[in-house]
Amino acid sequence: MNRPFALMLLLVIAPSIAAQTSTGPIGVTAKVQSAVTLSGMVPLDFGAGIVPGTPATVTAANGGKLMASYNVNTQLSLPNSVTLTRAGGGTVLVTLNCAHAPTGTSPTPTPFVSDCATGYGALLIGNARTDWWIYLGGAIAGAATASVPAGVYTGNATVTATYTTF
Amino acid sequence: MKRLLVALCLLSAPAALRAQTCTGSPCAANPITTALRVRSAVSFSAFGNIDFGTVSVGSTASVDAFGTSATGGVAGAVNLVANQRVTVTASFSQLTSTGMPNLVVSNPSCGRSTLASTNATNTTGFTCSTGYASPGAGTGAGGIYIWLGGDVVTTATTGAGDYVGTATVTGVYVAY
Repeated sequence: MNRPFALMLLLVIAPSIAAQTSTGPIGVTAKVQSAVTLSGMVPLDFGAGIVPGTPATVTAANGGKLMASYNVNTQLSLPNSVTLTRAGGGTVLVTLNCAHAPTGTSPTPTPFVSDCATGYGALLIGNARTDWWIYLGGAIAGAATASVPAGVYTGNATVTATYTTF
Repeated sequence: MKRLLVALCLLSAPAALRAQTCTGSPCAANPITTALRVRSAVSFSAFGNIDFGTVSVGSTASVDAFGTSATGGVAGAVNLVANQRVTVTASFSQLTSTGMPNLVVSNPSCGRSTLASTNATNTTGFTCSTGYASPGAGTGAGGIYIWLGGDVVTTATTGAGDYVGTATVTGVYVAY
């Protein structure tokens, strides 16, 4: 009589000691930091020389350039003009024009929709780190060199990258 | 070894060639350098000949750069227009007259002014052989007048006649 009782007891209590499955979400997050680099600068050079009083132009395709590498959408902007200076005195105003292209060898980079200062919104391609090139051209009015001293004038056009910092 | 070589190459590369990593937004990159060269524009134009006037033999005909002359002489001038510093010197040839011995210009006299007339007030003298350095920023559109004069000594045996020669004004400058 003892054995049948034990068997029945096992049958009755078996469901209560079977394995239980319980689900509950656990948040998993990761932050990939923003990584923006600017490199490969090529100067904007107006060449052998400008005859005083003569306008001069360098197209963006033939001018300066710089490569932006980014893993987050990035606004790239430059000033609309830059003042070049000469050691010993004298300044020349250069009006800048900007363009962009996916390579650094484009003969026809696409001009910025607006101006250099408004900038270009560089987007990620294929949701992956992207390289994109900014091209810089310039124009000098004839009057800008009509009465300045002869010599070499230099200046800088700073590229600013604005993006969300992760 | 290859890694070391690459590292050394990166260290020796100009800053402009190295990638700049942004550490925050906005990020101002190594700028795109911009350069141009404004060419030299230097010109001389004759403004007036030198005339030593008329002298009797055995005396000296003279006119200085300030226009002072006891023999009716007139200082000569050239106008320099330049967009940079120019060092100006002057030299004189001998004066010649057909069949006559040459006459030498002595005591060369040079001066410069911004006005188209010369006198002791508005003209500043300089030594013709060592020269005058014009302003580094250029002369301006009106230019600078270089005035020339000197002495011509005659002797009792100097033949009568019209004597002619040349004065050469030379400008030395850095060519851009």
